[in-house]
Amino acid sequence: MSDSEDDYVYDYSDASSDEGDEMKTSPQQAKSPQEGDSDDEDRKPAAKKSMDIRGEVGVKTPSSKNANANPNAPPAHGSGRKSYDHSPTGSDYLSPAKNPDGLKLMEAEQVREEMHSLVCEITDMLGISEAVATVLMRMHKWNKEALLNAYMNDSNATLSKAGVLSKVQGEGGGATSGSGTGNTCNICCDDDFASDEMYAMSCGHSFCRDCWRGFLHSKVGDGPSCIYATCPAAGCPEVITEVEVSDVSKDVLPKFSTYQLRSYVNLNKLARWCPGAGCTKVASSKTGFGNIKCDCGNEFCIRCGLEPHSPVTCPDLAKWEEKCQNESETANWILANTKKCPKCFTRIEKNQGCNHMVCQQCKFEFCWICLAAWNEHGASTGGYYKCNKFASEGDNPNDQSDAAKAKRELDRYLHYYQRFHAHGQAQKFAKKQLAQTEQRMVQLQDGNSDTSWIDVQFLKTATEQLIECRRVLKYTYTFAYYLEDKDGIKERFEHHQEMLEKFTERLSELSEMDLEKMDRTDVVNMTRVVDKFVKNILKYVDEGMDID
Amino acid sequence: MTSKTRIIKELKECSPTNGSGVHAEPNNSSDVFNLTGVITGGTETPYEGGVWYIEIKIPEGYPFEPPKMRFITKIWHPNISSVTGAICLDILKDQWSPALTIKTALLSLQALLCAAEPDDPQDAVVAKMYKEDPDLFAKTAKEWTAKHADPNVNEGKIRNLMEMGFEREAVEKVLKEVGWEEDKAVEKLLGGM
Repeated sequence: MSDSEDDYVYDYSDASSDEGDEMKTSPQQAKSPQEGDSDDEDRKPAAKKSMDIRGEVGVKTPSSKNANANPNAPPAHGSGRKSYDHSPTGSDYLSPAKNPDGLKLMEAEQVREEMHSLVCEITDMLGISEAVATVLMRMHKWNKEALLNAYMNDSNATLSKAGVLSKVQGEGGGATSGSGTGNTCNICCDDDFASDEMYAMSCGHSFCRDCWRGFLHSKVGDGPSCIYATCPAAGCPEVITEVEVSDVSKDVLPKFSTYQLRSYVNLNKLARWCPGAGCTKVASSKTGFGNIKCDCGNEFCIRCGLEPHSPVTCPDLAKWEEKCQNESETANWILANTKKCPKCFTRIEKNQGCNHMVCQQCKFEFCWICLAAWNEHGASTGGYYKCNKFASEGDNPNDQSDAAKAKRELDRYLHYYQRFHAHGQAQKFAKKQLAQTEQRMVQLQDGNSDTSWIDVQFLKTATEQLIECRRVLKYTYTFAYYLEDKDGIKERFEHHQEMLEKFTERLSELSEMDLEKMDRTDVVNMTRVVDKFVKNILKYVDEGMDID
Repeated sequence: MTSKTRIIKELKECSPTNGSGVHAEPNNSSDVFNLTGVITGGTETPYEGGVWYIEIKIPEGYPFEPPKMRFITKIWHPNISSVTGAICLDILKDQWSPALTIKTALLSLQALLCAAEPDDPQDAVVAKMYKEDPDLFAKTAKEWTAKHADPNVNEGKIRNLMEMGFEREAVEKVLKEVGWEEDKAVEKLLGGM
């Protein structure tokens, strides 16, 4: 690592005393690459995974704003801080796989068992069948206390509301016992069924088994709502359970049970299905907060199911996503993909390449991000990345007309959206890069006979860190959009953001370099610096952005 | 048992002579999945004396899925679109049960004409008028009944078109299809020639 990067770190820690202590360890760290190597060797895939989860948990607890709104939310702060262990060896990565916040991944089968044991508790307590207990629990969102309260208060009302009254009080269904032949089915309207061809739930509405089968197939075919299906008789509230499905149409039972399980997880605020395609794992946490990395590789926020999005809160992100969707598609595309040349105002679409633009019409050279002349950029003039602050220049901020306000608001949104979008694109690009990294690692190893596979892992770690940085940067713009500016908080936040951008670009540059030119120590060190930096920013937000 | 067998049975109890004030017939005797239903307005309602034609499409999943129904004849009613004839009625949606029939559905529609549910409106304009100015609503509904659903007026339209040289059967069929709008029927009759 070059001196200048160490200087960055020092500059930063000096400038913001709140994080100074942690940052000062970075140079030390930079000077111990050998130790870093041994870490890499010990970092077996399993340990790596635990790091991902642990690291995330510590960092990504909701911002304090959110925590205030949820008093029983994260006791995570204490344990969260633990993962900011800034020992130079990075020993926090090597702790055994445990989840301090009770975050865990479960197989669907385990969840089924958990659901079953809950049902069994109710079965024992109330002396009802498992099927009825399942329906009752579902009606009360799997809250045992709520169900028991309601039941003790008025058992009949609770049962009838859930549509299981006659199942508990009735004679039981099955094949109807009526006269031997000549039974009429009110669905197909045939009237010569033998009694064993008819079937009814305990509510007594009997239909022929063929029609029952057709009915259940149709309901299950409608999707997850089939678990709420009631007796085919018009207006009868009796709910269909796995007992009837198993009696009449065993072939759809697996689907029906799966929908029941799905609803169990969906109604449970502390758990979420992994949104990864085809993945059937369930993540659960004791607090309902946190990010988790599934074994399928998908990483998500337990609360909202989206990709981890610190420092933005889930509600703010939801607002943001909605806002971005509401802007009409065409306008969105134009705004996201084109800009006007600052000189001749020709619309330009940037479909590849760097941010140094040359207008084809007037040959003006400018920066794609801030649209200022390119020759004003560079290290000597305050830095290229000095383009992340929003200032509504040229406008008179005192103009209070609606049109002026609307324009200012639109400009403000576009400012954040453009950067959000740019980092999102960069994140996608980094993900593609990750796919090619393995190949590069092989090349690197082949190039030097002394190099082991573990020695080239740093390349993968760097790219993964890059993806993480892009993701965090992306959401810092959403966060900043909703950040209220008081006591210069915004300015300080944007300062940190700018630093992170600078480091991220450095890392991007270093990790994409030609293999012959690449300096392993530089990459390893930069990865560490950036990792700490990201964690510190998130911690800073998490703790309410107080400097004291 | 296929749904076709059930529909044929249902059509028997929906014959025009069943005396219930509603009936349904296939548009084409070889196709029992596309029907036209007929309901009459209740006495002492703005719909008294009117006759409404209803397009009925039987879906493949019938009777486990509800029949699709739509008013062809224009009607001024909070739960029925004054433009498209779309109907907002729970038993035609999530409250459908396979034990219900085309006849019970038509009877429910007839009941809907007597007792509107303005809190669950299909046509917001009509529903607003129903709640805020019931007198104007009754007046408008009556006017629409007289203009679009009066069988005598309809008979006049049939005769008008027959005078232009079309067969009665063809005229009636086309008029039903276009909701008894004479000029549209002319267009269709001439266009089809």
